Amino acid sequence: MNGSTAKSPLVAIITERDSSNICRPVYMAEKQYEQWKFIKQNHNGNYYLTNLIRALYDLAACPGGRTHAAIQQKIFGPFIMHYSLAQADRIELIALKVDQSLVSVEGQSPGLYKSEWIREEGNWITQDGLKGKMDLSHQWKGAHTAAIPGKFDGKRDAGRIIGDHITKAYRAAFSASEVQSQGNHFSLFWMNNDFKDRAHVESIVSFIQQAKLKNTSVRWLVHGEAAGVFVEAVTYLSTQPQAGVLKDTASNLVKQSVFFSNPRGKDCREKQLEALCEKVGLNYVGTKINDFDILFNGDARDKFTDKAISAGGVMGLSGVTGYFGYTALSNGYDAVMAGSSIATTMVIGTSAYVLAKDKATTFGGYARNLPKVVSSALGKGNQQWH
Amino acid sequence: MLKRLFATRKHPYMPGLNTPEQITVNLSGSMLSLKLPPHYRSDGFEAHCDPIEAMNIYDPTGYGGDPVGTAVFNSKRFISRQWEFFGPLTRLRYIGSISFVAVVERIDSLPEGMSCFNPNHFEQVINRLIFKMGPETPQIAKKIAPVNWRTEVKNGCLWLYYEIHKADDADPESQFSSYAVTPLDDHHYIRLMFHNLGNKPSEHSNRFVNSVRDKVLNSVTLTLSEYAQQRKAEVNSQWPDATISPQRQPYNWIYPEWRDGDTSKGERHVVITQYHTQPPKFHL
Repeated sequence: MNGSTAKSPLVAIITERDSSNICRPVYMAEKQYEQWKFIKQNHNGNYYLTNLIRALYDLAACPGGRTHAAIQQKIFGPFIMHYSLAQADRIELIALKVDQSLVSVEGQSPGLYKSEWIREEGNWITQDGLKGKMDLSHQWKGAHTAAIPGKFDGKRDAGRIIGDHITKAYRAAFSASEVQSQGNHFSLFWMNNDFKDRAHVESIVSFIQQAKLKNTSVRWLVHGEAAGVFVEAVTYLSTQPQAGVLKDTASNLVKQSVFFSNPRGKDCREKQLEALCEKVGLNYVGTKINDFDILFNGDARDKFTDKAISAGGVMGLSGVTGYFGYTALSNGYDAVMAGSSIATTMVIGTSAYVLAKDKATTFGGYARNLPKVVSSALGKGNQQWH
Repeated sequence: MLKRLFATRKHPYMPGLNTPEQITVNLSGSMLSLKLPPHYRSDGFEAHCDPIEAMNIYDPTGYGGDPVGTAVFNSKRFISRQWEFFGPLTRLRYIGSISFVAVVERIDSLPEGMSCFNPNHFEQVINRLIFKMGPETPQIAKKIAPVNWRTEVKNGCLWLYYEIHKADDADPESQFSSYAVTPLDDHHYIRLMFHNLGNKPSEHSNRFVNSVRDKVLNSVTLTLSEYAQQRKAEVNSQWPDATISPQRQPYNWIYPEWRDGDTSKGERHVVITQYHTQPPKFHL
């Protein structure tokens, strides 16, 4: 293969007409076009389809990434999108490949869950099954509540602890006992401790957009390492409006509020978070800094350093060592997190270029949504999606 | 701090384990006392519910329940806190945690004439509760229960201990809950819960959380109010031969069919559409 799919006629799916931010149109084979057209027209309000269409917009909008290797791939969720850069002025979509192994089916696979208050347990309990979308109609005190936890051993631990964070963070809006009642839940976006996965940023963008689209109030609780991912998502929204809903998101997220709990990561100092929220019109509720979190939180670190300096000689050598210790640890941590994800290595050796209906039944949300696309676009009988 | 330094997965360190607080709670005249390690959370959040010194168990305020299913239990919390425990210094985060919750619970659907002071009736009440927390809460992980069921009479009070485990053991998070229950009057009982979270392999962490639980439970004393003691004596004389099972095997439940309810149409958030294992019925 020479890197171009030009043997069969190509049709443009994304062009400059779609948004002013498009710098290169996306073309695809005619036989794929009907399906993508359907997705393009019907993605609004559907998380899975929106993820797919956003992937196309990203390709169209992103400068860079142009190397001499003609065939590139983009991986998100269970999908690998293969595309060609052989033609300088456009992207040619070659195939969308589905690989279930990219999505872990273990109990801790990343995605959207519900954490529910179970009265008999006196605790927030995270349900096992992945959810397709946030149940935005489920609200307490006028808003749906959604949480994005940072590092935890598992989603149950996360749900239990984050449930507490929510009631503490929004104590001005409600008391713990008011929301700790049977049947109440919050949405939990569990990243399974992978805070470098670009797909998570895109998911969060989707959630924010869906709530915006439905004009629903959402109360976010963003914790720990997730703050960095959330910041990326919000930054993306503020700089790439064409990938918005996919328009219209721009700067009006006034019905959504966010509280940062022990934020960790780049650009996650309190002032930076506040400024970012202000920029996109997101209600900034507050930030809780754990003063002992000097390893990962910039503000806590400053405070610690101030103390170390003001305490002068009293801190002694151990204090200084502790502080230098941070840099080493932090670098080590980043190095681990930046390492290639399992997803990247799993790609090698797979060759299923189609989404067959029988296999699709095990794919969770994508499975429930994609067969509809296939049958809607091509009628019964076509079970493959090239 | 030396203990923190030398902690291992086999011998974890839990802050305050050896310097517990003495807590006494007056539950409408019945006095519960126990020693509890102080609340400890590394994220700096305070406890859910500091121990309440005195609670009127007959005041309906503060009780919350859930009408899903066929039996109604309502409970009111008087202590809720968390403990974390730590392993080797190479891991800064905790290796596991215990959420301790203490409630007074009321059973509203007990047929006329039945009493929690009758050991056989009390076992039926707990069976019903276990069913409610298992098949009648189908939206969360499937459960195995009761596990490690045993009974003990302490200071004249019947205590019943059991555990509820997750049926699916594939999850890397190890999770189970231990419960201790004892009657307070005809329709009320105390329930102490230990919700344990640890990592697989769970052998060490389970042994540790069980040791914490036993330490707490060994410190528990309940002295019933005069009224409760009188009711208990009456019930005992009415059913002098009533007993509770000394040992039990877990149920072989088949979980019901269910769907998410449409709360905007007044449905409960979980609607059970078909039972397979039927809820246990009360027998006088």
